Amino acid sequence: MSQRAPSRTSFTESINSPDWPHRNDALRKLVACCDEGDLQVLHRLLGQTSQSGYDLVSALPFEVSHHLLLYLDGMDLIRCQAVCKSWRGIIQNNDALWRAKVRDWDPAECTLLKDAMDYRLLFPRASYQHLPTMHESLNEYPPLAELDSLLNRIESRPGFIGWKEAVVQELVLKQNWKWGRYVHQLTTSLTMDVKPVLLAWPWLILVDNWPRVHKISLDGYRGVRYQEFPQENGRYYQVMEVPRGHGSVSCIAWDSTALTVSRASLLAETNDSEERQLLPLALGSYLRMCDPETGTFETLPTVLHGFALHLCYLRDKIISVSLDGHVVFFPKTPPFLPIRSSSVNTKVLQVVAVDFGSRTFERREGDLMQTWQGAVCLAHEDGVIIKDEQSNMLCQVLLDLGVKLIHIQAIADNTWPYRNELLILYEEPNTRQRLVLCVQMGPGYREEISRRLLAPSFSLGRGGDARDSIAMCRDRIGIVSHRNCSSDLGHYCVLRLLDLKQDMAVSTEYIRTESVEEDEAVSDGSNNDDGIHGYSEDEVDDGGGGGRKLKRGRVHIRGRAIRLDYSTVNKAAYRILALDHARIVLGVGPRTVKILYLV
Amino acid sequence: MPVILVSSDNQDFKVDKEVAERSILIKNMLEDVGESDSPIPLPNVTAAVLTKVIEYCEHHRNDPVQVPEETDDPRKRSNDIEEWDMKFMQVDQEMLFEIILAANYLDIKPLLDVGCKTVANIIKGKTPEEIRKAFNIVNDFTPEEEAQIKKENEWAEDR
Repeated sequence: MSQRAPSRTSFTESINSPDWPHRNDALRKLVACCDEGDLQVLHRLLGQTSQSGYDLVSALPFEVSHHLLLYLDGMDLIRCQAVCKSWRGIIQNNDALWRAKVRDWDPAECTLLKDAMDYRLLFPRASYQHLPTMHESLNEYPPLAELDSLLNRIESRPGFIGWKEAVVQELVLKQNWKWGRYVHQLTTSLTMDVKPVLLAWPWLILVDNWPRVHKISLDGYRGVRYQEFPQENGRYYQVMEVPRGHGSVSCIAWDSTALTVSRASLLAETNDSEERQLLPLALGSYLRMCDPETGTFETLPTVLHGFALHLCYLRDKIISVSLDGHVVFFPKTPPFLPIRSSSVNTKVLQVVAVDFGSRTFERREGDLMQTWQGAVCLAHEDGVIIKDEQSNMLCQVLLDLGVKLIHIQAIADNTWPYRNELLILYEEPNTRQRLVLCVQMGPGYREEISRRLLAPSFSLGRGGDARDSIAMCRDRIGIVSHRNCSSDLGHYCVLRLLDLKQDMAVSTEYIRTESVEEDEAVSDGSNNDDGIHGYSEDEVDDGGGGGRKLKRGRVHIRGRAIRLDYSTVNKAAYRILALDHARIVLGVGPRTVKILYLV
Repeated sequence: MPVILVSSDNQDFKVDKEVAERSILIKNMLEDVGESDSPIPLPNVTAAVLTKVIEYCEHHRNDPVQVPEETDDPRKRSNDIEEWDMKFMQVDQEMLFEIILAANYLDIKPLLDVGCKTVANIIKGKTPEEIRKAFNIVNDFTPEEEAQIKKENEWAEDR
C-alpha cells in the first residue's frame, strides 16, 4: 500500500469529493497510515454511528441498481424490500421494475394477462374468413412488441391495480396453489340437479335438470368487497330456460374466441356490453343453439348419432361426439349443416380442441394436401386420436397396454416458449397409481416427438374409488378424493391441488442449507397417496404435506390438501367440476356449486 | 497499436487499441481524438479496478460485439455466467461494486451484466436477514414498520 505514488489531491479534498472511488481511496490510505491506537479510536467512532456497514446497493447510481434488480425474480424483490429503508425505497416505487417482471412471464400462464382477456388480442382472430392463408413463420412474429403494447393497454385501463400489486397477486396465487389456500369462496344452490358445468372466466355456466341454463358472472367481485352471492340481476346472473326435449342437457360448449371480437372494439369502455355468444346444447340426440341475448333457441338440423357426449368449438366449427364414437363437424354459423361425419369406433372420454392461431400447417398424404390451423384431440381409454379441423387423421398417441386414460390437456402456445404438449393423466394397471405423461408434439400436432413421465414421485393418489373426481387446466390438476376415517371424523373429502409446472416467472433455484431428511423413495405409492403428513385434527382447512427440498436440490412437491368439510346436516359429497388457473369449482351434492378463489 | 489509459491515481496502463475499445466510452473518445497518442484520463477509476477491467477486456477481446437484440428468451437470467467470468468475479464485495461502477462509467455492457448477475446471485434465495448479513447492512426499520412489513409478506412465508 505504501508503494503507491502520492496522490496529487490532498486528503481533505479526496474525502469531500462526490466520487465514491476517490473517497474510498482516501479512506483506504487513512487506514493504512493508522497504527494500533488509531484503529481503536476508529473502532469506537464507528460503533457510535448508526450504521456500521455501508450499503453498496443503494450507493449505486439508479440505472445500475435497476439493471441489477431486473435479474431478480418477483419473490426475491419482495424479500429485498424488507432489508432496509433505502432498498425498500428503490424497489417499491419502481414501476418499471415490476412491469419488467410481468413482461418476463409466459402470457399463457399469467393470471393478469389471461383474465384481462386481452391476451387473446395478441393474436387477433376477428374472422377466420379474413385471415391470410399463407404461413407466418415464427421468426417474423414479434411477440415482445405485442406484449409491450398489451401491457400498455392494461396499464391504461381504469381500475388498474399497479404493476407491483399485479406481481404480488401472481406470487400469492402461486403460493396458494402450492399450499392449498383459497382467499374467498362463493356458494350457489340451485333447485335442481346440476349436470354440465363450464368455467370460462368470467362466466360460470351451469345447466340444471329443468333444463335451465344459468350464466353467472364471477368477476363482479374483483376489487370490490366480497359480498354475499347476489340476487339475480340481469347483468350478473342470467337464467335461460331451455325448451324441453327428451332427456336433459348432456353437454354444452363455449366459444372462447367470441370474446375477442367484441372486446377488441370496446377496449377502453366498461364491461357493459355482453358478448354475443351462442351456446350449443345437446339435448337428447338433438342440438340446440341457444342465444342468451334473446333467450331463443334454434334446433339444428343436425341429428346426432344417438346421445351426444361432448361438444366443443374449434375455430369456426363445432364438433360433437356421440356415445358410440361418431364425430360430426359443423359450422358455427347458420344454417349449421354438417360438414363431415366420421366414426372413431370407441367411446370418447374427452374432447379437447387445439387452436394454432394464425399458423397454418401442411402435409402431403399421397395426392392429398392436408392443411390445418386447428386440431381436435379425442381421448379414449387407450390413448388419444388427433384429427385436424377437416376431420382428417393427424396422428395417434397410444398408451401402454392396460393403462387407463383419465384426463388430458392439450397445450399449444403461440408465444414463447412455444410449448406443444399433450398432458395425459392416466392410471397404471397394477398399482392403480395415477401418473402424468407429458407428450411432446410436433408443430401442428402432426406427430409425437417424445414422451416423458412427469415427476413420478407425484402423489396423485390411486384409482379405485369411483367417487374421486379430477379436473385439469393446462398444468394444474385438482383432485377430490374421499376418505374414510375410523376416528370421529368419519367420512370426509380432500381437495388436492397440484401444479405441474411450479413456476410462472423465472424460478429461484436454490438449496437451503439446513439439512432436510431424505424423503421417501421416489416411486412410492404404497402408503403415501395422501399427501397429508402431520395432519392435525384441529386444523380445518390446511393439510399437511408440502414442498420439501432434497439435499440434491431437486424439489419434491406434493399437493397440499384442503379438507372439505360438509355439514353434518346433509352429508353431501364433494366433487370437482372444473378449474382454471385461479378458480376451482366444486359441486357439493347434486345441487350446490361452490367456487373457490385462489386470488 | 497501444493506447495509454491513466487511472485516477495517476498510474499509466498501456493496452492494445482493440482491447481498449471494448469500452464504448473509450472507443468514442478515441474516435474523437483521432490519431493522437495522448493518454486517456479516467478520473473515476482507480488503478486496482482498472487492472481488473483491463484483464476482463483482454480475455474477451475477441468476443463478438453484442447487439442489444430481443432474443427468443426475453427473461433476464443470471445462471449463465461463464466459468472464467465467475472466477474473475471472485473478489471482495467492495471490488465487485467498484468493477460494476467502472463498467457502467466505461460503458462495457458485458462486464456490467456479469457484475450485476453476480450480485443478483448473492441476493437470490436469501431471506432479508441473510441479505443484510451478506452485504453488511443495518436494519433501519422501526419495530412498527418491521411488523407491518412482516404482515404484508405473510403470504410469502414458506411455512
